[in-house]
Amino acid sequence: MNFTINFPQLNFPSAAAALLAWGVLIFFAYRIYKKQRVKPKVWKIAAVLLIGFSALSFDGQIFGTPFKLAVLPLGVGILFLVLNKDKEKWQKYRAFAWLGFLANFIFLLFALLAVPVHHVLYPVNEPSTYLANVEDASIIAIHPTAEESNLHIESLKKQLALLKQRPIHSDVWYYEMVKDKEAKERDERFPYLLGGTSPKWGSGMNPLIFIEADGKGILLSTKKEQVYFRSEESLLEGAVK
Amino acid sequence: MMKRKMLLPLAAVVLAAAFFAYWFFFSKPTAFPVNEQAVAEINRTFPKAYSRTIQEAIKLDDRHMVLPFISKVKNYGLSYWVWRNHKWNVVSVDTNGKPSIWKINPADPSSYYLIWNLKPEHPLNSIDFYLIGERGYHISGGIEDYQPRVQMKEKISLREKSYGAVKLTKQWTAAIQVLSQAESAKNSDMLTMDLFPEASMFIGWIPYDKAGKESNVMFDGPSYSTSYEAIEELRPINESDMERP
Repeated sequence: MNFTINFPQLNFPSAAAALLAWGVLIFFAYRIYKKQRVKPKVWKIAAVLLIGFSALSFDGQIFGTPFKLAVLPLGVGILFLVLNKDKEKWQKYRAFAWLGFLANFIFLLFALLAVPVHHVLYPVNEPSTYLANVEDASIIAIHPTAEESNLHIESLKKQLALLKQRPIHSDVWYYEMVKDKEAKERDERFPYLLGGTSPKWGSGMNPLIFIEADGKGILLSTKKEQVYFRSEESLLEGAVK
Repeated sequence: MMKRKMLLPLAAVVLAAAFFAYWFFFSKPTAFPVNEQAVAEINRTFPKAYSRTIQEAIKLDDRHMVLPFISKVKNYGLSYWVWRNHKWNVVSVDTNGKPSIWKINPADPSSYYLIWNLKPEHPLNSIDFYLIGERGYHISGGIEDYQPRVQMKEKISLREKSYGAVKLTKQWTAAIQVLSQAESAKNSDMLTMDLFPEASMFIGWIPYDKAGKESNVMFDGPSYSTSYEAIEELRPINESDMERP
């Protein structure tokens, strides 16, 4: 089943890095433009930059962040073939074509710089990164073993600062539920889903948040990884004295 | 002077075009065709349907209707109607009435309907619809990932009518919204697309007979569908695969 909903979340460091990269690109383009005696049309420069940008690249990964590294300047080659018939014309656009190719690295550099900035602004092991606003939080029972219960928002707010990160034992949890048990005997360790919360502004995160059956565990699932927190007191109504 | 003379007719043409466009694309739906007309329209769109009697015209919203029908050979089928281009169009016909989901607006789960038309002579009492997400775990490079099982149930009685169309419950809608939101965030970034296995979610159904026993329903019959409506057949599942039924 394919559910398609899109709630774009602003990733502030990424957006800022992209803007800066654009700024750098325009700065260089302007420098080249000013030096030239014969001035090309601005829209033609933009087109040449764009074509120059296309390149053969390979995929890599550093610190869990995937990236594309441009290797072969495909666009520059095409522009050369098309424009070189008129030597003067090629002279006029050559620098912009190469700047277009260089833009690959400018964008990559800034995207990589955004990663540590993101880590500092939105620490992975801070509950407040994911649960900045819990005012409208509510739980949804997603498994038949979940008891009819409501979220105790005051308790959640109180516990937020006291949550302790714990390791995830995904295989242990999985087999605990499944091993030597028929389907009808199976429980679920995380039978509640938490909705209505918002992450820290600009984090670009949209975590899936599961609550443990005893009301004391929070499993957060972001696009990169999962984080697991335990609290002293239950976050569910009824369990709170 | 010449230009001024041209202005008025031009304005008239533009206005007329705007009126036509409004009437064609945006005007309020007219009354639904009466039963004989609807039967004729189903058979014109899909001759193999052999529709004969309309059981009921179920209005989902202003522009979407479902008409369960009985065919010449006593098949119980479903026809799906959309008000588009100033006309009621049959967008899908299914001669076997299998339970389906119609995602009227795929981006909004509160517009999803579960729809079915089962043979009344088959002694069924109820259907259990299930929203299912598989449990799973994943370890790679020291990073662990655990996917809890999602299993939500919705019981529908067939005692009064063996056909029907119901909106997803609030709980289902909320769960789908939360789950798919996080899912779309994962996929929004093309680069990270394959970092996580896709959450596999589906809706299944189990029919129950008068004695409360799981039943087997056989289906046969052709179906027709235009490509642009999101209508999906639901998966038949077994009670033995359900947890804590």
